[in-house]
Amino acid sequence: MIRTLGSFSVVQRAWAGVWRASRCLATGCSSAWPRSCDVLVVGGGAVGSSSAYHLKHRAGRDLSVVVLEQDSTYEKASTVLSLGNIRQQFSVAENTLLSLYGASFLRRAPELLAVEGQDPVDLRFFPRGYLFLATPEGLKQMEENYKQQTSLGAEVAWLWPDQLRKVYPWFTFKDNVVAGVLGTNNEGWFDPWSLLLGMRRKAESLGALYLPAKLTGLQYRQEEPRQTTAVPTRSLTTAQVRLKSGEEREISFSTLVVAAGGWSGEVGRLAGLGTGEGVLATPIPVEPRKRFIYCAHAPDGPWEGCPVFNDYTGMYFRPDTTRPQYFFCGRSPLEEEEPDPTDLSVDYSFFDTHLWPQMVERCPEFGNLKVKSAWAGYYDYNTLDQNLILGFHPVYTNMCIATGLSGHGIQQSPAVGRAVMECVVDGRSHSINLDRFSFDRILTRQPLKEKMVM
Amino acid sequence: MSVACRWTRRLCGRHLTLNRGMHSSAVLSNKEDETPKKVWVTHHREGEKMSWNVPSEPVDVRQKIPDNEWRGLLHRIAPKKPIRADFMSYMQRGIDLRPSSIKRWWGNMQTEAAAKDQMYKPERVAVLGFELAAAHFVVHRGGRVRFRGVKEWVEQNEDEEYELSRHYQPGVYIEEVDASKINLVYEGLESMKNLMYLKNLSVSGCAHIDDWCIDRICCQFSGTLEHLDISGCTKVTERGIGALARLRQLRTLNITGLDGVKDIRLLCLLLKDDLPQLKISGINYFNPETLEHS
Repeated sequence: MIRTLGSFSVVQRAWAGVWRASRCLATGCSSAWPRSCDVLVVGGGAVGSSSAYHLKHRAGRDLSVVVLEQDSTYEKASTVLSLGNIRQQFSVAENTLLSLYGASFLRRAPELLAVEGQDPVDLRFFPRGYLFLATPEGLKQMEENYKQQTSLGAEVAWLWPDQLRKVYPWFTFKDNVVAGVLGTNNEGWFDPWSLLLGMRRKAESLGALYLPAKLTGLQYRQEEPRQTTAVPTRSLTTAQVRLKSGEEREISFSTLVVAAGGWSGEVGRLAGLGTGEGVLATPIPVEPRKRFIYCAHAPDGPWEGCPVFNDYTGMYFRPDTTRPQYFFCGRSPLEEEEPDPTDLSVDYSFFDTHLWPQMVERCPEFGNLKVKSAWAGYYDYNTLDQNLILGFHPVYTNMCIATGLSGHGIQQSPAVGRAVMECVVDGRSHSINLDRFSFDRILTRQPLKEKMVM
Repeated sequence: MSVACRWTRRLCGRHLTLNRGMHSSAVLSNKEDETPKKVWVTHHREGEKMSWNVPSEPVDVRQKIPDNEWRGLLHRIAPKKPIRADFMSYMQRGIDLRPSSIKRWWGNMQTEAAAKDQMYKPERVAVLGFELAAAHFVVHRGGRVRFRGVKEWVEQNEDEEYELSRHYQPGVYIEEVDASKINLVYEGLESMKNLMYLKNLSVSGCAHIDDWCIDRICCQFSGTLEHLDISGCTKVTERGIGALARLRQLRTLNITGLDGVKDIRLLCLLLKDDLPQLKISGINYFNPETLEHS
C-alpha cells in the first residue's frame, strides 16, 4: 500500500487522539466536557460541597457527581461571608439534631477530610457558647426549648438572673430579663472558609467535578402517571450551562440537587416553578436577603470570656478573637426595613440606629465603641418560615431541594449534605427524620418557625 | 429462562438501579414470591441513640434466599436477597496495597477501635451509677482513681485485677482521676460525665486531647475541678487554652510541653487575670537567651 504523506499524518493524528482519550479515561480526568452525570449539584457552597462529599464518600466511583459553581472565588456566597457560629439551641428538634451532627463532623473533620499529600484541615473552632435571654413573656417557651434541647443531647445550662450577674458581671439588665440559657459544649464559632475548602478539596479528590459554569436552562420529560388519578409527574433531563467565556453547553443528568443558597428561587424558576399551573405555581420561596456584620473596637468591652450574646431584640454580638477588644455585631432587620439586595454595600446608619443603643443598654462599656469595618452577606432567606427545605419536589420527582437555611446554614451544612445523600441514594433521609422539612409544607403554607430563637 | 439469566437480571435490574426509593419496601416487594415477608427485629446497635424521630420501619426487610433457588459463591457471603448496592460497591472497590495506605488504614482502625471502646455505655451507668462507672472505666484501661475520703489510689495490679464494687453504692464520689496512661479520646471523656466532686484530672501524655476535649472538660467539670494537667497534649491550641477560663475553681494548671502554642505566655497572663487563684506550671515566662544578652 502506498502511503501518501497526507494519509500517513491522518492515521498518526487519529491514533494520537485515540491514545490521548484513552489515557484521559484511564486516569479518570475529564479534560473532555462531561456530557452526562448521575447527580448534578447546582451550587458549590457549603451545602453543595457537603452533598458532593457525602455522595462520593458513600458511592465512590459508582455515582458521577458534577457541581456547578459559577464563581470559584465565592465572592457573594453566603458561606464565606458568614461568621461561622455553631449552636444547638433551637426550638425545632430537627435543627438541634442537625447541629449536633454538624459539631461531631467538625470535630472529626481532620480525619474525614484528609487528602493524601496535603495539609490537614484546621477549622479553628473556638468553644465559647451561645447565650440566649428570655423576657417574662417568653419564659415558658424558653423552658420548653431548654427541656427539648437537653433531651436531644445538647449540653446547655439554665441561668437565673443572679447567676447571670455572677458569671457576666458586665451585663446590666433590669426586670426585662428573667433567665438565660448558655451552651456549655459544642457551641462557639469556627472558620467557614476552611470547612468549605476542606469539603470541596475532599470531594474533588474522591472524583466530584466542579464546573465553573452558570445554569441557564432546564429541560424535562413528562412521565406517564401510574394510575389514572395520580398527578402527572415530570423528570428533569438536561441542563444548559454557560461558561465564563460565554459558551453554552449541555449536561444530562439523573438527579438534580438545588443547593444554590439565596439563588435557589431563580433555579426553581428555570424549571418553571412559580410560573406554571397548580403545584407548579408555587416557587421555591428562597431569596437572597442582605445582612450586615459590623466589626467594632471597644477598648473597655467584655472581650474575655464573652459568649455569642443573643439579645431578645434580635441583636447579637461576639468577640473577634483574632484581635483583642474587637467585636462582631449584627441584627436582623424588620420586614419593612429590609435592605436592597442588589449589591453588597453596607449601611452604617443601621448600626447607629438599631444596634448601638441596644448594645450600650446591655453593657455600658460599649459607649466608646468605634466601628472599624463592616461587610454584608446574603442569607438564603426562606420567606415562609426561615428553615430548611429538604426533599424531592412532588412534580419534578428527581429534583432534590436543599436550601432555605436562612442564616444557620453553615453549622448544619454537613448534616444537610448527608441528608441529601440519603435522599438521592436511599430515597429519604433516615439518620435524622427530616420529613417535616419537605417541600409539601410550602405547598400547604404550613410554616415551621423557630419560636423565640433567631 | 435459564437460572443464570434470571440471577443476572435480578442483580442488574431493579435492585441495583440507584434511583431514589431503592430501599423502600415498594421496590423490594417481589410479586413472584408467595412466602410471607419476614420482618427482622431492629437490634439496638451499640452506641446508637434512639432518637425521638427514628424511622418506624425496621432496618432490614430482606429475606434469605429459599433453598430451591440457585446460589453462587457470592451468596455464601451475602445470603439475603437482594444484595445491597453498598455491599456490591464495597466488593468492587480496589484494594490499595501501598504501604502508606496500609499504615493509614491501620491508624484509622486504631482510632475507631479506641473511640468504640471508650464510648459512653448507658448499661454500665445503669448498673453502677455515674461515679463507679467512671471509676471502672478508668481503672480497667490502666488509669488510677482516688475516692473522696480515702487516701489510697485504686489501680490495676500486674495481673490486671483491681478492687472496685460491682454494684451501685451511694455516697461514693471520685475526687481525683489520673488518666495519663490511657490513650484517652473524646468519647472517653463522655464516659466520665456527671462526677459531682472531681477535683483533680490528669490527661498528660494523651496525644488525642484537642480543643474539643478541652471544651468537654470545661463543660463537664466546670464547677468543681481544681487541678488540671494537660502536659504533653500537643493538639491543644490557643483556643483551647483560652477556653479554660470557664473552670472557675481552677487552682493549678500544668502545661509542660505546650510551648508551641501561639502566644502561650500572653494567654497564661490573661488566664491569671481572670482566675486570680490560678497557678500555672510548666511555662517559662522568660526566654533565657534574652536574659543572657541583656
